[in-house]
Amino acid sequence: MPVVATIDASPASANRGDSDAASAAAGDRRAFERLYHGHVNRVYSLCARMVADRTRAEELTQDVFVRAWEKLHLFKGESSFSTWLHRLAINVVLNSRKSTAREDARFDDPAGNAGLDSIAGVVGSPMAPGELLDLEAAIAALPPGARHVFVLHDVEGYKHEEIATQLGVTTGSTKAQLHRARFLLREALNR
Amino acid sequence: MTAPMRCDEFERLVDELLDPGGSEPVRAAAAAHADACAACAGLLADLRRLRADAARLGTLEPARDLWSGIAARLDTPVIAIADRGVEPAERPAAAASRRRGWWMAAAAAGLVAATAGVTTLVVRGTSTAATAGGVGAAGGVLANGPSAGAPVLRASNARGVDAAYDSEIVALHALVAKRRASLDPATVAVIERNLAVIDTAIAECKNALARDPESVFLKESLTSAYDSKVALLRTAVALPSAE
Repeated sequence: MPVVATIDASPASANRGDSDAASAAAGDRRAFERLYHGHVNRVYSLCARMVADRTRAEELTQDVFVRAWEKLHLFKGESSFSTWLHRLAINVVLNSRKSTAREDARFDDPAGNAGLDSIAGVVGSPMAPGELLDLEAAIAALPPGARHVFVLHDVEGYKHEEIATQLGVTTGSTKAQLHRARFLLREALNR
Repeated sequence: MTAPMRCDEFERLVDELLDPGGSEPVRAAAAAHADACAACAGLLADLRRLRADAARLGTLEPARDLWSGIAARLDTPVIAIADRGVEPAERPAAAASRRRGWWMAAAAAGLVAATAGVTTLVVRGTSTAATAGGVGAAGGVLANGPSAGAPVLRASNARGVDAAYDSEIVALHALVAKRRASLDPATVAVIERNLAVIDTAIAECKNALARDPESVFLKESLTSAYDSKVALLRTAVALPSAE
């Protein structure tokens, strides 16, 4: 079962995060830095898998936290800070247009291998098993549309309705992209 | 009696077996087909394993520290510009305009830097000089958001803040007025709309401070609004001329 919120899973941790979020919203930079350290890997993971570009993912991660600092006054605590930040991260990634050229270039690679090299640098967990490294690389090589939906649905655990809203498309479209992604991944992993 | 599902239909509908929800009759037909077809059963097993592996992918770590870059950006004033579609850089004649406008922007930048330094010393003291003085006219950052810099207020009340910013704002307004005819009208309109929004915020902060003069939040809000106004004016002064 996909795990949507792997950070701040415990009530104590969630309370601490929300407390830091309140302090940060009032201008407490140290509280915001604690939030950053608590969430940076998860935000980076989302960015890296969505754009399949290590450098771009680092830039986007920074963008996410700058936006979070600017928007913290809008965080009302209806959801956990982790959930709020994650949705903000998705918006930042999807609104980003700078990566388009690089992604297009990857698509033009007839062998479809361009993503493999880049994801090798993206993976930061030395504990990841080999099969999962293969999967990371195969996800990176997916077409952007299919990759976005696959990451949001099968990795992050969002529902089609939520993804469709985020992407501004229909659920029929997200289901088609997910189907495509799964078959492309199966083919890539069975090569 | 429904006809048995074919393999091509199973491929098309296999997601019904992987994801919750969907049509129960379709799921039942697909499951029955997988029970009877080894190839499709293999496909289903592969996709189920893929889905499970995807769900247990761990978090990744950036290769470098990102906080220092974020912290630096939080210290940089950000000016709210609602419509970036009118930026001269996006117009065909932008390059020529930039060349013609460069000398003017450079001259303005010198004046702005001087006024910024004075304001910084008066309002914030020397410890936060980088926030205002370090940006200067050409260094303002355009973005669709409020100021990212956490304000630090040294002036004790609204009148003190007014006095600190007034001279700089007057000087910047004069520079903008001189440049007005050379700027793109659409850009001028955007700047004026943003200035009106900021002026409203300043007026509201002053009114609120009159009722609650000791509120740190209101003082910071007022300083922040003034920062935004000064930064917007600096950017306007440094904009390249229109064709």
